[in-house]
Amino acid sequence: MVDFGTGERINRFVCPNDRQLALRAKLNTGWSVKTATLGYSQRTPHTSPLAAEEQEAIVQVIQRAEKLDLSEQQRIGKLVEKLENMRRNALGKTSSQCLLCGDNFGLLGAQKIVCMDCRRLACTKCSIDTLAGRGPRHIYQSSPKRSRLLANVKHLTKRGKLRVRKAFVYSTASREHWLCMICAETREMWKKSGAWFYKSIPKYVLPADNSRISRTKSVRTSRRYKDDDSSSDEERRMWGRRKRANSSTESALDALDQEQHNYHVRNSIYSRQNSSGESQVSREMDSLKTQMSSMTLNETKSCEESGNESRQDIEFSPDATRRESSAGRSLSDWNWSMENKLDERTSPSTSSINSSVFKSINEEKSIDASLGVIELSLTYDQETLTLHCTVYRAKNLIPMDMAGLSDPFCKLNILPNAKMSTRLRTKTVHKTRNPEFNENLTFYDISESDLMRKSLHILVVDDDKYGHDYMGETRIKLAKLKYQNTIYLTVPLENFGQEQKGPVPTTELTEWFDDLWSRGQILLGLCYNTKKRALVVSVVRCVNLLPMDNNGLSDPFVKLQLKPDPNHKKHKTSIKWKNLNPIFNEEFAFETRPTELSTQSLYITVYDKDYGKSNDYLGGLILGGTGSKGLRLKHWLDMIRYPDHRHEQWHNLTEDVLD
Amino acid sequence: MPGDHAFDLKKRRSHRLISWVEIPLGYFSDSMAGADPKWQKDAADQNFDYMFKLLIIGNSSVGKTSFLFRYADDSFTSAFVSTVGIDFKVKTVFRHDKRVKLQIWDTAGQERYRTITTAYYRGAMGFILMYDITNEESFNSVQDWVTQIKTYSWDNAQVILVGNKCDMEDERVISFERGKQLAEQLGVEFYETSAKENINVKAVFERLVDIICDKMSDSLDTDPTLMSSGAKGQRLTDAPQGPQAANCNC
Repeated sequence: MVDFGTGERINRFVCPNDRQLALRAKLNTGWSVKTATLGYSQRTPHTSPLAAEEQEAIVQVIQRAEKLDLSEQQRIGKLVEKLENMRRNALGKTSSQCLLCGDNFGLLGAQKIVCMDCRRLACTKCSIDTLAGRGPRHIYQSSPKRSRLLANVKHLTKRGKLRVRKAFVYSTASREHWLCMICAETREMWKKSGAWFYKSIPKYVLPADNSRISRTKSVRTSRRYKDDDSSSDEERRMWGRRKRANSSTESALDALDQEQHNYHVRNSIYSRQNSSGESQVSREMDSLKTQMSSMTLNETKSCEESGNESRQDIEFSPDATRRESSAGRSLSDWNWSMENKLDERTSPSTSSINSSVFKSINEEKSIDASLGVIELSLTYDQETLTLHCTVYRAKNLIPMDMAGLSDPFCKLNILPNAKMSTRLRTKTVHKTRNPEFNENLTFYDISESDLMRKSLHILVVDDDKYGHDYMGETRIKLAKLKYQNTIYLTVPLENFGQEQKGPVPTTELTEWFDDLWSRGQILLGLCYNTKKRALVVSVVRCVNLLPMDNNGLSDPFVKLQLKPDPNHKKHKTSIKWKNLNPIFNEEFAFETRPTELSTQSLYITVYDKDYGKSNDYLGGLILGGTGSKGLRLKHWLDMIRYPDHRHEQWHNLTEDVLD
Repeated sequence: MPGDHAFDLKKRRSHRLISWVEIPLGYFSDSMAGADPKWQKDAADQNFDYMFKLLIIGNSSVGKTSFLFRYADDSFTSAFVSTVGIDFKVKTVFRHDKRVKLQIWDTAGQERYRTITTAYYRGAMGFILMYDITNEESFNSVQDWVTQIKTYSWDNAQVILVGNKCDMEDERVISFERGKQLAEQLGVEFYETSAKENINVKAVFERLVDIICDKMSDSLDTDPTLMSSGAKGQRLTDAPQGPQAANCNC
């Protein structure tokens, strides 16, 4: 870095390097001009190296500049983190909800706005008008383009079509100028970080509390090849690869700490900086392909050399996926993870073909990847017919409680399989969204034919006294283990349609979930009625209740109680005789003030009516209060936040007896 | 932001912050009597909205360093000390309700430092290309400097042409018109300044900041696709070409 004076000496007999050639191209002077005699090479006569004190002075300036750069990187890191938190906290899951606050659109609900950048839907509260200060009403005067449109409208007036046109102009105009908060913040971040100028976000250092990054190199390696770099194409590719390796070792470092692997190769797949051009995408695919092939080579080699100690990690840039997915339009990366899941991460060629096809389809779905990722390794032992599964950690799980934390654990199961023995779970790691499990779980009696047919399902669940909340799941086909003894995986979690169907997922998994939530589910509606000044609870129905009576059925009814409640009011539904899936549709009101709601909890208990002996407890649930988490917390908060709206939600009943 | 609040208090006390007001270096720190050079406090301060990197270039002894000192420290010395390689100063200004932090690089005009100075072209958002109105050669070199900018800087870097030492009317050899004409030819703005008499110094920086601000809002409004493509790559490569030319050895 410090051979300032000498620099690069130009040999007239050597082909000029890329920089020289680029300069020639820019000068538009043709190839006859000797760029070697232009610009900095003019100093050739006096290449006297800098004196020591000169060097020192320069080094001091550079150090000063580096200090400033570092503080700038930290500042940008803060901006990046802020934006990311915003994205992470976006609640909307479906297209009928606001992207950010999760409010449902509708006549009574939020007004729908299409963000002009990401084209997703947000409500007016969660977006800003870029013609800020002037409401949509004044759009006509605001810009020349608008006034031209207005002129058109005036023309049409003569033909009597004014009203129609005007309405049209109005609606498109107002919609075209709205930005959702996330995109607005993104723009702001691009301005503040200088990314607008450099066409990409400059390197940054995330704030120190992000342990994962600060533990490793705090300053990211950063050198992006530009067209005028003085390296040949060959070198450039090498560079790219090396760099990728660098950035992956960074995230792999913590893995190294704990596992003490002697040999550690991690081949992660990163797409490169690209400018959303199709050709660029395909080029990316090519590079990925080459990587894939090199990866498989490594794999076999490392297996031979050091057996199980070798470590081959396939990382589908999960972080990136998560971030980008929330960015919405960056499709190619997302497709990667999607398709690779479908293709079992084996055939890059097919995925590269598919990617363009999937592009548009996945746009809406991309939100789902925000559930975080899980890192694990699988080892199959042919002799003992055992499958060892090591769950290392999960990252960026969704928050469940008030403090934005969760108590996650993993449930593992080999499916399809009816046997109870294949259900395993990790311990619970409390109060974190980045749990370190580091646990070995072993499945026994797995034949090789099983490998081909079956897959490992991992379900991440939030541990809670009052029922476990679903945080995401993933499935890994075991067929891959046939060819390779050990695989290391980093897979993004997904959400297989939990929202719509309540806590009853696909039929294949039903049994397994039944085990988790064996007490059945209840559909509850909550509404705070401001006129009556009361919380109206509607018990709609229950499903999958436990049979308690000799006839294989139960006679369920639901008891409701608000605690603490000055009125000490208790409510009971009617008894639905001989029914495990009773439909109640009954409403009850608890008088309370909205301010008190945040401290109160609603106790819901389901009993089986028995004569002559005490009623059997079927299950219970607590909504609200301090211990509330996940869906139950969200439901309760929604009810407080949006009074006079009915909020319906499925909940799991827990076996814990509540009093 | 809590920072804003503190800022408001200060604002009321001094009645200076109206539109373009320089915030004196170290303004926000209570221990202003500290022995630290002013820039250090200012440099560490993260309380600003935008950061612009500017670069002053031009032949040796046209007055680049004086120009910078006049702007940043409001000082002037007629003694000529050649800049060693490169230097920078930091100044936070208030423009359009935004705090803009300027990192102004002062480069050595001498040929022998060219390797180092060109390395810093990459990160610069704006250039002040300076010549000496009493020096024909410095004016003739302007075209070469423009070539340098085109070669080494980002495409959308903004340039202002400045004829310095306009206080020395007696020794003038480059007329205002010639300078103006050249500027038009190059498609840049033009100022004649004097660091000694403090003529137009502030105006040049103000104008450059304005140009960059305009460019900034334009670039994002006209091309929102920029963000998606860039943001994506940024995350995946982990290696954006930021303004880290300091590490560049080329």
